[in-house]
Amino acid sequence: MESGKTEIVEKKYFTFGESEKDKIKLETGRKFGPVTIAYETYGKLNKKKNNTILIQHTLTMDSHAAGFYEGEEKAGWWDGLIGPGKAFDTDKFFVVCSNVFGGCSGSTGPSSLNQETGEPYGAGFPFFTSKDLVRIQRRLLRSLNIFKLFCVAGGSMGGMLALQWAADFPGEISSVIPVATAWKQSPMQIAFSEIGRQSIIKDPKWKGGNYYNSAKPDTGLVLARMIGHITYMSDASMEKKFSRNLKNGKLSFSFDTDFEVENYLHYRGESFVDRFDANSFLYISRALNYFDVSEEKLTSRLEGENIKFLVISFESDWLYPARQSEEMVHHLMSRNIDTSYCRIPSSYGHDAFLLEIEEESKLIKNFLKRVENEN
Amino acid sequence: MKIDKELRSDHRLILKLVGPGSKVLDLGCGAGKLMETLSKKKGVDCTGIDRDPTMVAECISRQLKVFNLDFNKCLQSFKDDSFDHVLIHNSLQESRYPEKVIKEALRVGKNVVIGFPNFGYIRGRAQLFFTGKTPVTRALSEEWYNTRNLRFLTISDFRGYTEKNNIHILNSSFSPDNLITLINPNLFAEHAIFMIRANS
Repeated sequence: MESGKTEIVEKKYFTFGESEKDKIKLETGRKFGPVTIAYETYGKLNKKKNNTILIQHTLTMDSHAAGFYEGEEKAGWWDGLIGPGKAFDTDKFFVVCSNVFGGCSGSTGPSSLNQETGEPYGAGFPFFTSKDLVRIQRRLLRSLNIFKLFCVAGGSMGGMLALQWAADFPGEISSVIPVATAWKQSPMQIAFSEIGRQSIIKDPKWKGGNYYNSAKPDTGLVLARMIGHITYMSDASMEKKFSRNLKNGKLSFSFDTDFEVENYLHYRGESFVDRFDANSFLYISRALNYFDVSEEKLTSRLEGENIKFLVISFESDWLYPARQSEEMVHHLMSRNIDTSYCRIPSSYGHDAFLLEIEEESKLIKNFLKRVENEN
Repeated sequence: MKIDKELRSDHRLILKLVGPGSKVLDLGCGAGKLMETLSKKKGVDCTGIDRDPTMVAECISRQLKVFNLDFNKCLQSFKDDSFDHVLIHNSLQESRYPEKVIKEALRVGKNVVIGFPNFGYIRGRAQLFFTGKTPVTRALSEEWYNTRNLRFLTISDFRGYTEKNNIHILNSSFSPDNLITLINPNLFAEHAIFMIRANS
């Protein structure tokens, strides 16, 4: 699988909506612009412009899905799957990954400067939905002269956006790979994100969302991230990774960090604050709560379309349990939509979609081969 | 059509039963070898169902459509007559709910092809009679303690079931394929393949 060469990639930017006419009309009815979207591309667009794969990232990730930035040692978050000879083979496909609108890694979000006021948008940023995110991505693709996608793929929130694409523009995509995801957020998922949001909102430093001229609501954001990380693991993976191991070899008989698992959550939480904006977390997680393409909302849109699904779930994922993927699969089955489904045995919990690269590669690579042959 | 001599004899039989270009659902499809044969040799549009994710990955690498589900529990999702044929080849005896599976298969398929090892086969009977032990034969190759089979049926059992339930047998074939087997399949056939449909 390893090609041996280091892929140097760079972040690019696309801006639209600078004129009143060009602004995006969001699902809420509010018009908004300008919008800048940060994105990366890997591989080359072919002459027929039919080899594009759109990769969708999760809530807290960004456009850096693969390769390395100049001088950096950390590869993109799905580098195991994207690259020359890999499952999303960049020798063959043109892979695009963009940072979502509302994010904080180069795309316009609550921390961006509002040109009218000269201040960051903060809580004045508009509410948006997964439908808006997809339409904004579509604007980016059109600017790259791409009108048809070979595949849309992603895990977790990325899977939801892939499904939103299928529901909104089924005629423009040949295949969809939703991984470790669901076609609507369950009450449990909404509940966890509400705790995350409340941790931030209840932090006095949040100041109604307008904290950019003072200290960040880091207490709340750390807590939100700690909660998140518990939901990404499983009982078994936590036992294996931490057991009851102590950080300093003995109990402190205080409320300081005694256990390795506590230490891990604190570390994860604190490193998150440096790279993520609390308002972005609030807005994006809210958009996910509104996501729902269940039943007719998806299936009725697919009839008569030449579109193939590869649905992947993981055994120990309790945040997006296999049950939810299977519910969708049953509906796709009943509508006779070309679908394959695999539930990968793994003990990693929700994180499995970032870790079970070998299993995923095999499925994705062979599935894409069939999409290519039958297209 | 030229029949490949390399093919397994049971796969060759099923290949003959399935119409070219037809739509097939394979319950307990395993690694998808039968589906691959059907789709390559007869342009059959195959969908498989198997519980084992390793098998499912094999099917996908064979460029097949497959659901990693339990066929005992998922057939209700398919509409009536969704398929030309439903195959239950060497998987009925592993099912916890064979009757439910047969009924659902008859509903979602215009007809159903069922293949199973015959528990009434003479060697098995002789083993049970003379040694007093559960038979282990070529078609029933595992011991009682590690067999995946949950149901042990004979050709006569199956025929009795079809009569009782007003199911029409469209075709039956037995292996080994010889005269003595044809005279008394329940005694001399190791394996049977029936094609059935519901009598409307």
